[in-house]
Amino acid sequence: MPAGMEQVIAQMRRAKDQLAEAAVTAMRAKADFDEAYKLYFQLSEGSANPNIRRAASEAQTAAAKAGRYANLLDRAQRHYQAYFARVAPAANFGSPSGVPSGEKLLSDAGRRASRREQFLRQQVQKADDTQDSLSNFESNAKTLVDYFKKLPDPPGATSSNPVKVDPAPTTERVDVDNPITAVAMAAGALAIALKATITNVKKNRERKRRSGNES
Amino acid sequence: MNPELPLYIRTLVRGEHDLNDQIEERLDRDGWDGFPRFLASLFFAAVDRRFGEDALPGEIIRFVAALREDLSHGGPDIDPIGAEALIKSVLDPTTEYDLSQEMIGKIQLATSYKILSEGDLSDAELDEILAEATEFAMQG
Amino acid sequence: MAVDDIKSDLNRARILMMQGKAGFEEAAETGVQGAALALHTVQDSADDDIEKAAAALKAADDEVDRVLSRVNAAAELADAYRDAL
Repeated sequence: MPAGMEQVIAQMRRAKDQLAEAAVTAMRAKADFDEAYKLYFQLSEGSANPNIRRAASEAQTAAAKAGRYANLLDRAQRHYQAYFARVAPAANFGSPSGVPSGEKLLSDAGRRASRREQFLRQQVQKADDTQDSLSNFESNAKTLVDYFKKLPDPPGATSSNPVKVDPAPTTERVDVDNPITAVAMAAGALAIALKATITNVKKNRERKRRSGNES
Repeated sequence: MNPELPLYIRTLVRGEHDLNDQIEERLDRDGWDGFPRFLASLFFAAVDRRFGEDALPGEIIRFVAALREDLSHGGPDIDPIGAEALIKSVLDPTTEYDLSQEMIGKIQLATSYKILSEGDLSDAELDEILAEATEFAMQG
Repeated sequence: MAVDDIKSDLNRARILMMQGKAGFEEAAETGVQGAALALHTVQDSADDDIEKAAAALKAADDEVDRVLSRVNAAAELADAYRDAL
């Protein structure tokens, strides 16, 4: 493999993993939207109120679009796979990335899940479900919440992502003779470029949201 | 579980006080069903995120000291040893503690509030934590 | 259908929509990172596959806000229905 090619393959493997993860997560969200749609739909059958019917329609569309999002990511992955099969077949781009990181993720998640289960079980055991105790619980909570509301605003009191303004990177144009190797950027420059791209994507979304440009 | 509970916490953390007031009224009216379970799960998620498995004991002690300082302007008393133990029990469930239900609730709410409001969380990150807390409370 | 049952279904649906929203936002976060990395690593726009991949990623990004606005609309409409009960 030409120099720099390994770097490109490694980066694209990581990108592929992220796109795959995003697609899977989006499909899980789609399943939630589908379930909500079924509930709304059943309710709408027994009602003359148009709102519940519209809610069902919106939920169904949300589900469809979440599915479309996942499909588009899959499509991108397939095209990248086809590209690398052509220009660097020896790299075996299509094969799964290293197993250890996956295993580590699983074991970390497994440990956390176990901790969570133990912690919550203890809470349930110690819980007192008598009405008096619950009323006390609620009134204590409200007292504390009132106290927090009277304090000056904490740093978390912003409802949108804090957008950091980074200068846009000057990306070098690709060397047409050797498209793959020419694109392998130094790790530092890539990090800056990525951060700027992601920030710009988010800023664009915010701008579109504010100008009401939604379909 | 009353589905407004996550919204109650969200509006509190984001400083949307008027909305929080309204939601509180509705909770009083409709019932705070599932609140203790929700709060316990919220506490777990917030503490786990803030400290992680390899937190040093000093970090937890410093956090609790800062928390008591936050509450010292007319807020409720928090048992410092109890708070440290409860937080530690998220990271190491063999930790023992002996606290009243009342104190557990206060510690969980105050700790969760401090972590979530100071954590510089994006909307997605905050929603993720609230969704996790919801999931457990709904099983109850 | 009894009003209490309706409210209970609405509650469940709202939680599902919220869970889905949180999950989808998480997907979008990961997705935009993967897309940015891919687009920066291989920029050979003379290649058909790369062009199509880039177009698919752009189209995916466009869908994100559409999903979220639909979720918000569904929740608001269901709330309006609930208030009228």
